[in-house]
Amino acid sequence: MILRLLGAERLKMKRTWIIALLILGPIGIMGCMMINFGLRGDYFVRKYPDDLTSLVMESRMLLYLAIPLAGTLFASLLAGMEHQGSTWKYLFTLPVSRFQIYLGKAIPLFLLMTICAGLTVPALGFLWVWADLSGTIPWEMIIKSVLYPTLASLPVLALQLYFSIQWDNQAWPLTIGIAGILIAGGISKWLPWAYIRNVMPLDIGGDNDPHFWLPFAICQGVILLLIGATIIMRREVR
Amino acid sequence: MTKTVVQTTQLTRRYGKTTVVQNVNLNIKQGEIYGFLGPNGAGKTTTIRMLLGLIRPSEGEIQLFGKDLHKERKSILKRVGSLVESPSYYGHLTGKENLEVARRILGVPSKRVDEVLEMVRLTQAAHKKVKQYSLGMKQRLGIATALLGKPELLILDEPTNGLDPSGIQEMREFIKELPREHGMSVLVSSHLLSEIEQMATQVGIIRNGKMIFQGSITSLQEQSRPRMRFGVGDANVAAQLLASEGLSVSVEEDGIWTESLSQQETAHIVEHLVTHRFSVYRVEEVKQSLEEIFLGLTEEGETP
Ligand SMILES: Nc1ncnc2c1ncn2[C@@H]1O[C@H](COP(=O)(O)OP(=O)(O)O)[C@@H](O)[C@H]1O
Ligand SMILES: [Mg+2]
Repeated sequence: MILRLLGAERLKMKRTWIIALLILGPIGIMGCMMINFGLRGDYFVRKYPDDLTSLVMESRMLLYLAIPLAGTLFASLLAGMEHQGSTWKYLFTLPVSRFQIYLGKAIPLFLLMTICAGLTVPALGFLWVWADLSGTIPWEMIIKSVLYPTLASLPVLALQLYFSIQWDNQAWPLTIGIAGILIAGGISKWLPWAYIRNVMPLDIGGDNDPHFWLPFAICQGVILLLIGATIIMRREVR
Repeated sequence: MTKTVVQTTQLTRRYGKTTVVQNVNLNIKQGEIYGFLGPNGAGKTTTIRMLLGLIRPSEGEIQLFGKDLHKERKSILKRVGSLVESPSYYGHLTGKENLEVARRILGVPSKRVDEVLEMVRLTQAAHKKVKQYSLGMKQRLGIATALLGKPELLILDEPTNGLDPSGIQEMREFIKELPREHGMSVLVSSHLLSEIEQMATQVGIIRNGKMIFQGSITSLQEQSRPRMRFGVGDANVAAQLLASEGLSVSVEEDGIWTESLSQQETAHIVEHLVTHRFSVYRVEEVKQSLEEIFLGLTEEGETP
């Protein structure tokens, strides 16, 4: 059943911004990093002990913004198209459980984020060569520094998905998403937006500790997803 | 005996303190076109939402195909197609793609998409984006989507809303065919009697959340007893005479009106008038039109 829902979801993405965002996201990240290293590469040599650290630390800044932003936009696009043509009420009269309908949005959201991450890895590999950093491309470290924050964004994804489905005016979930990115991480390390920064695979002190934060974020993400699904399942459909 | 497709028992729904649907006992038999009639705000959509499990009843029970909706939601909804209020669609997809989305979820064969497009005559516009469709076309697409899973029961909430007269006519003909050609039962709501009258076999009339009539169109007509009209010269004086005899009469522009009378009573009145030298030039029995009955039913007690 869930496969059928995913097939339907795939077709709905046709001619939407979702596909463009999927490609533009990783390209954008690469572009920013190229400008960053192009302009400040000499400074990084002095600032960081080695090239690997400079790559991870500089990606960290960018991914901290880019991952929750992508999640916010994807969630809003996935839910928004159902609000727009008032199709929620149609979906909820189909012989499919409401939980599956919810998963039918959560799984594509997660898959989109994973694809974005998957494309960002070669983009950073390319950067390593382009910026003429020393040694062979550190694939393992690059994969970890993209994959960990993506997984750590699960709680943010769960929240954004819930808000986007709950409210038909997408201005609200977008505002929350952007406020979260700009403010929440600075307020407390316990707020979901901070986790994305807390899981960087290098020992850089502070709150950084992937061994604790990664499982913590994943568990919290699953719990928040279940809570969101439960609320939506009980909700009356207009 | 024909099977009951929809049966609600004392169905009630409240929003806060206002009761929007009150003790409604809907009964729809297989193969019927059931017209669910009532003025705007009467509670039609609310009732239909409950039938589809979109909202929960405050009280009462719902059985579809003899099964409890609450307990067997999924297996019941597999046999139901619906269109509630405004049509649901993905504007950025074409009509055909919209149906393909629904088809993938329902898991019906691909050729069914072309079949339903043909049924609602959207084959020509199948590859146009739905946001470019007219309201009537969107409505038809909604019906095509509802028909996709070959439902046994079709629930249509005001399907002719916003259509032009020819669109309304077309929709009506289309709905009328469904039971005969596809063995479906249909629940169709409307606030217009004329519409229901022309397609429904049974009617349920709802007003202020209460079901005030349920039965066949003919039994609705029988609900109202005909009245008698006497065309009489000098009607006011004649009416006074009849009133003094203890008859309840009323004077209107076109004569004297009484409740329906037996032959003897009629003869007696005529005789009485004639002996008092009033000229009686017309005696007739007047049946109320359905429209008048409907208005009478729905306006009754409207003002407190
Ligand atoms: N979500 C809601 N909250 C409060 N009142 C509602 C809600 N939905 C409908 N109503 C009220 O219930 C009444 C019946 O509405 P509805 O079922 O839509 O009528 P109809 O479909 O017959 O025009 C209306 O008075 C409407 O204002
Ligand atoms: Mg309505």
